[in-house]
Amino acid sequence: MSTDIWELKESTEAREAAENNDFKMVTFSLGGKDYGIDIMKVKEILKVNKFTYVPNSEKYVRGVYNLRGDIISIIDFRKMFGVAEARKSDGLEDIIVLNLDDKRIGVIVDNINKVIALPSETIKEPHPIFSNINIKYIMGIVEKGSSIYLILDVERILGADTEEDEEEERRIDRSYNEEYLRKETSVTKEHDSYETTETSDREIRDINKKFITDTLLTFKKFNITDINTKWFNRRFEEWVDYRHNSGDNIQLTSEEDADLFISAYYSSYRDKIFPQDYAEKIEKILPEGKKGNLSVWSIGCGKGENTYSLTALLKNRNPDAVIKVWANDKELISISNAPNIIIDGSAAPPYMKKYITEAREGSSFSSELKDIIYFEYHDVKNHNPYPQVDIIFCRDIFSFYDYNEQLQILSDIYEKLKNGGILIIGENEEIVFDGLVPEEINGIRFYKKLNVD
Amino acid sequence: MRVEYINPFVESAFNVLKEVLNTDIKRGELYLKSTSQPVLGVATIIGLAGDVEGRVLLDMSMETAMGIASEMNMEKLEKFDELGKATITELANMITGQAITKLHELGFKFDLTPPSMLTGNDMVISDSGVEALIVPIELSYGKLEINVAIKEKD
Repeated sequence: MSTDIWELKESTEAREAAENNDFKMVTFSLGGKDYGIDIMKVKEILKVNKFTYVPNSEKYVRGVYNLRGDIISIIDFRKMFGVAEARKSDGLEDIIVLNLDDKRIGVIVDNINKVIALPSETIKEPHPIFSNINIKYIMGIVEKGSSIYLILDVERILGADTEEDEEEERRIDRSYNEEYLRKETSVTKEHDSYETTETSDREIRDINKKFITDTLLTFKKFNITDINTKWFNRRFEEWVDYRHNSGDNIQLTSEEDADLFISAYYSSYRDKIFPQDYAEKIEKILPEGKKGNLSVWSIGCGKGENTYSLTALLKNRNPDAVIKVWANDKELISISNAPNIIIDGSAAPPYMKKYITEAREGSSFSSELKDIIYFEYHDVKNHNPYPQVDIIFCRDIFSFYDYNEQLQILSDIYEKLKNGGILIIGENEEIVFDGLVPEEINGIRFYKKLNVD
Repeated sequence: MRVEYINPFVESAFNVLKEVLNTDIKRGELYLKSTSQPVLGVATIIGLAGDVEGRVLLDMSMETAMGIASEMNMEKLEKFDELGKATITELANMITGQAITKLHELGFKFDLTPPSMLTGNDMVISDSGVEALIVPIELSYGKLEINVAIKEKD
């Protein structure tokens, strides 16, 4: 009788594994072994190299770290468990930030790997020979693929406990764990299996999304907010497929990964002179035949390629106007090069031709164009000392500011824009702001300021 | 601040300090600060007018000021007296003067106001409506900051 049950269990094991993935853990390596931590205890992951040293603390306390205003303690698991220390060449440590009751603690591990989902029934009792980590800190052990993961009980490890009540706690803990597992199992069985799969898939997706959101912020100071959520959701789907096909981890484990992820965010011809066909499209949204003053504010202009293109187009369309362009960037190196940029004169598109002069070092822009652009080393989140302008060109910069800064920049932009003036933002950005009305001509999206009063 | 203004200030600060102090000078990374900023302790201000409006602030701690003043007078000063103050003021004049000369050669017309010096603890400077470029300089006596805030006239 019992043999039958075992056979049945074995034959359905694969199917069950796909259906009942009700336990998720973040996996990492430490001293060459694989471990897991219940994902419900994990707040986020970080890569950090500077900690504030705390004198007179335990040797496994690396210090404290300022996580966006919250001070968290950083514990080195390697030192805590006496595992050989593997210093990274770049000095950046992989940190898992844990949510324990109301405390947050960061733990340093060798390498954070991925999130694994599995049925809680497959978690087995720990056995002392498996690890050099004291058995009372291990919640369970599980096999997945070719690896064996030890699931750590972080609450026990980082909670306050003493030698005296160790035995007692251990007993309680075991029974708690057993109860916990039983409960988990029974909950799963109450649901029908199809629904369970769907829920857990969505949960993993959400967790992956959150990890990517967090790592983009850590690596590239790239914020996911209302301005770019639509793009982010689209990009996430694309990314999952792409990484799935290439067999790579979905999560962003390095700055290169993060760069690759946001490479799809940038608008067409960023850091390039607009080619003729694109220039003809952009041209259609610009004013024409104006006399008097015409002013432009170009935010985040980098080395100025886009700004030069836009200024040339404006000059062509408004030969009688007095044009003035304020262009700024907070990257000192890029903006310093902007006034004397060298370009390939022979490749200049027709609309640009008459503004090119030959110098000793190569082709550059004539003073007719250069003299009307003021390149400034300036951060748009600080005070913007400009008069009201007719056009604001501000592509792909919002995401590099946090939500509150974005709001402030946006209201500054609104204030500095003349009534009827236009705002051009990134192709993957979208704003909702009273008085800024979205329009589209020839596939170029922009916003027009219309006075509400 | 226009990028054309940056180099003249950085270069002149470097040249002048190197010339008068005979010591190792290291320049830190330039950066921007927004309106209200703490001042280290001894602050010399020179106003700018002409095509632009703004000011240059030479900012350092008292220890650094004493070290520089002693070196420039070639005697160990015991307290920050009239001679010490005059020395630091002169240093600010030299740096700003040389920068303005360079800018003049590039075609920008700036006028200077006479320097004024403020000393004290826990001071904060606020400039309405302009951010400041900070040129940090490391000396053997301590840190010195050239803080330049310049705004184009409308």
